[in-house]
Amino acid sequence: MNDPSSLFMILLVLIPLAVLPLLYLARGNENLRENFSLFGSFFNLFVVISLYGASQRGALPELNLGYLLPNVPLSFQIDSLGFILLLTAAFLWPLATLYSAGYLRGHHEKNQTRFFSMFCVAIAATNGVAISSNLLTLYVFYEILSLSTYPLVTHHQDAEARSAGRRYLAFIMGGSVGLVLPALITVYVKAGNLTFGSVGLVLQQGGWSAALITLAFLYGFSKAAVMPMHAWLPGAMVAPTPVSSLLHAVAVVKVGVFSVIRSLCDVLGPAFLTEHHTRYLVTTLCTLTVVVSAALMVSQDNLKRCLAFSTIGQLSYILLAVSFFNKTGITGGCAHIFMHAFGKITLFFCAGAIACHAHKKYISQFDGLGRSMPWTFGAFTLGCLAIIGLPPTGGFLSKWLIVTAALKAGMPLIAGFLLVSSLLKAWAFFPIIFRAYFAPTPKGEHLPEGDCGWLMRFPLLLTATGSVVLFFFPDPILRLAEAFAEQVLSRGGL
Amino acid sequence: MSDQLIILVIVWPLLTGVVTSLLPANKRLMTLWGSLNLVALNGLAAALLLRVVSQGTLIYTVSGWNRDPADALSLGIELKANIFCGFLSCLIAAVALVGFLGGVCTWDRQVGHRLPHFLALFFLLVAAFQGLCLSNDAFNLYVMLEISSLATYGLIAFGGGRAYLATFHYIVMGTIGASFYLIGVGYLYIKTGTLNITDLADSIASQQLSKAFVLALAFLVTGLLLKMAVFPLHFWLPNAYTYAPDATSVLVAPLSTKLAVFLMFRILDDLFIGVIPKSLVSWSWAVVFLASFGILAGTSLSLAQRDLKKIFSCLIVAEAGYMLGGLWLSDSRGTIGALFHLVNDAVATLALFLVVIAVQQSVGGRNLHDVKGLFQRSPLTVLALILVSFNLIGVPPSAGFFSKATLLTGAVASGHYQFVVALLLASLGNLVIFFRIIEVAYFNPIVAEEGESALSLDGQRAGALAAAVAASLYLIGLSSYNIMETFIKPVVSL
Repeated sequence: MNDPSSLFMILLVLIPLAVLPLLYLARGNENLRENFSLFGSFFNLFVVISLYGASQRGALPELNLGYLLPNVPLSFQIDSLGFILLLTAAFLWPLATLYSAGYLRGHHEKNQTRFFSMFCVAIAATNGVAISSNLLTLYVFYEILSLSTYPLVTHHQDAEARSAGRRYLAFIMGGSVGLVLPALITVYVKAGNLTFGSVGLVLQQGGWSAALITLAFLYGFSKAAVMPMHAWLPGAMVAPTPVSSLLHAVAVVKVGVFSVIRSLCDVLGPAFLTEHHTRYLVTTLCTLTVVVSAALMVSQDNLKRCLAFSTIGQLSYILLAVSFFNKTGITGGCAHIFMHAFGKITLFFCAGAIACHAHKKYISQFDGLGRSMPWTFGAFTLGCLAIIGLPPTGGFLSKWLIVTAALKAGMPLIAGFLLVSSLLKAWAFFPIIFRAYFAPTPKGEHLPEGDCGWLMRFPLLLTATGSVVLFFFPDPILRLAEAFAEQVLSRGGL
Repeated sequence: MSDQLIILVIVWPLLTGVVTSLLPANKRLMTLWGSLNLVALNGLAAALLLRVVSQGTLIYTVSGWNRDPADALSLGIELKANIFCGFLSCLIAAVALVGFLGGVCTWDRQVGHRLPHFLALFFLLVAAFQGLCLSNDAFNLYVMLEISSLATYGLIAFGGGRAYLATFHYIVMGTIGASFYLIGVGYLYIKTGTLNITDLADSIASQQLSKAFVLALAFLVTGLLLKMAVFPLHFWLPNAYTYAPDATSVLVAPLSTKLAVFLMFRILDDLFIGVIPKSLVSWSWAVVFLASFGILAGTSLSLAQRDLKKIFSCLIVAEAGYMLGGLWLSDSRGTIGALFHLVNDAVATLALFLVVIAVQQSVGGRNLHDVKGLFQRSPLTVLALILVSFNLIGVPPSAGFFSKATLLTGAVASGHYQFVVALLLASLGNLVIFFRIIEVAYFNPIVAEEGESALSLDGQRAGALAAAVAASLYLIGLSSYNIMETFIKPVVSL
């Protein structure tokens, strides 16, 4: 029987879903509807924090809701990696809700209720992924997330959205059905169960099949956008900006990375990846993605596309760091999930604010904009620092750990590549900031008066402050990441 | 008294059919009469299942003949309900009731004044399905197969126009299939002197597997491949199901080919127990290859269609391949997966053909471009379509995911990788097939003025029914482990 206290966990999936009928009932009254969303998000934050507190006093019990396949239950348990994803989503959901309210009203978007409803389903699925304790349960929520974000990506329902939606489905579902599912079944048949941390897959003849399984997980969870499975991501930029921020900072891509980490660390395990040398495969492919995406970033003029390529690079940073399989690497990689989320969501909030308030989408139009929107561009600058990995932002700490890990793993070349990509990022971001603050305003151009509205300004200032705060108080996150690293490495094999 | 349940389940619809043909063609009266009788049938089937669950397999000798295996002249019909037969009998009764109710709104347009004759055939078909499910006699199975085919020919020909030619094709192919089956039964009777399946199985197991038995098996299997509409013996099916009246296809499409699959299971698992993996391994490879090819062919055929009903009819051809392959994997998980897929596919096909009715009632056509604006006109229909499509793509936690996962497990364990590839490609094919429909419904809103008047009550009702059936797929999915453990595993002998 389940421990009654473990039922508390299921609230994380139920709260966002419970908001749905309320949103539908309040569809006529915007303010009431957004209040329901906010209420749900704060309640969710409260539950996550109280669970976190409970976990500090001792490991949380497992919740088992019956079997799905022989030996594979629908079961939940939160470990430290799960908490990192839960905390990321829980902190950013209320802010994203506030921001979406401002953005959607500012843009006079249609179908706002559908937007907020799908947003809630996506959060529920993200929480579900975070608390799953075996690969099949994770897969269930992963698929729900894929499908619930489709209406968000195609929100505008025009030709552009249709083609972006097709590409999104082709990559995401193609990966999960075509690659993850066969890999999952193979592991299940060979090992007999899918519970994280106790799979113990042993292949009779390694080599090719080990490489195939590793690659199937790496590419199959295509939300992690390892090249060449990244192509859906820049396309998905046609969605409204709050969706992009959800996709790129909170839910979708982080769930992709999370799922890859789970399958590499907790399903295949370091011992397996080292024995068959497939972890070098992961390292190589991710390094390639980091460098190529940084190079592509420099040439973009559309700000949102530029940010999309930056996201692709950052996701591979995380996987790269984990693939070193040393304590520093796993700690840095997992902490980067949280650090990057705050930096990237700030940048997207700013991009949305600029598009909504000044009606500018292209970097070449930003001349002098920083002087008329000082708050937004102040936050934007901090976000850039976090993404490049400079102090005083949380991004610096995780990136420092990642580069150190590369050196510790005896791969100075990789460390070099990481620094080069950071330089490329700086080369892409600093001209934007410079242009906005110091370039003269073109003649005849009329700049908006004042900064964006408070509904949008407040969240983006808060997330920017958050990434600075993380520089000074990173301990809770680093401790969680470290606990996960110890847990993975203690299983032996290295 | 409860021993009589098994014969009542067959005789009740048979007698209902006879009485129905004498009643006046009054729609109200027919609806009431039909649904009352079908509710009674559901009660009987449920009672039978309860009886089988509580007291084990029920064997019934029709008219109480004296069964004596030693006496060559002791011939008579035996009925047998094990736990899966009981379950299947309930499924048939439930599908018949829902299909009947769903078809009511199409009677006026497609059946007209010959309604009593139509319904007489309808009930005859239900009786034949129950007989196929519960007989334990090879020849009686042939009789039931023929009754079901003859009733189906008549029911399809009610469609008029192109349905006549389609029926003619079906009659020719169906008769050939039935003759093959009969020749197979003939061989078995000559060799063993009995028609009772239990006795036949004993005598096959005790003798050397002579060429006559192999030939009998070949005839039986070929005949059933025709009835199952496995590619390339499928070409009678798409036209017959498409041009049949909607009230016919909603009963025939979910059950007809599935019962042929069930007969195939009886032959492999009750009659020739263990013969395939022991002596005819190469057959297993050949048939699984045929099934894999059939899956891909059925999916491609479906991709090429623009008529919703034909799209779904072609999918039945692909689904037949799933179950055929699963049964011939010579792995118990494959067989369990195939039988669970049978249950899942019967419900899913029912939902699909209810969707066809709902679409036709709400937008007046069933071509791909008619679906335009369906989101506004009948949201429940779209909900049903989305839920079923996720089931066919294999998105967890739908029943389709679990049947596919079990089939995949069996295929990987027995090393039939071509079947794995076919299943995954079919899932991706279904993704394209269904999102093509959903895209039209989602991205092409209708102009406001034409939309207001078109809301029909019948369409809404059919949509609601379809949505309820589609939602039940998720209940079946979540209880898949229990269904497989309780109802399917005990009857699989491999």
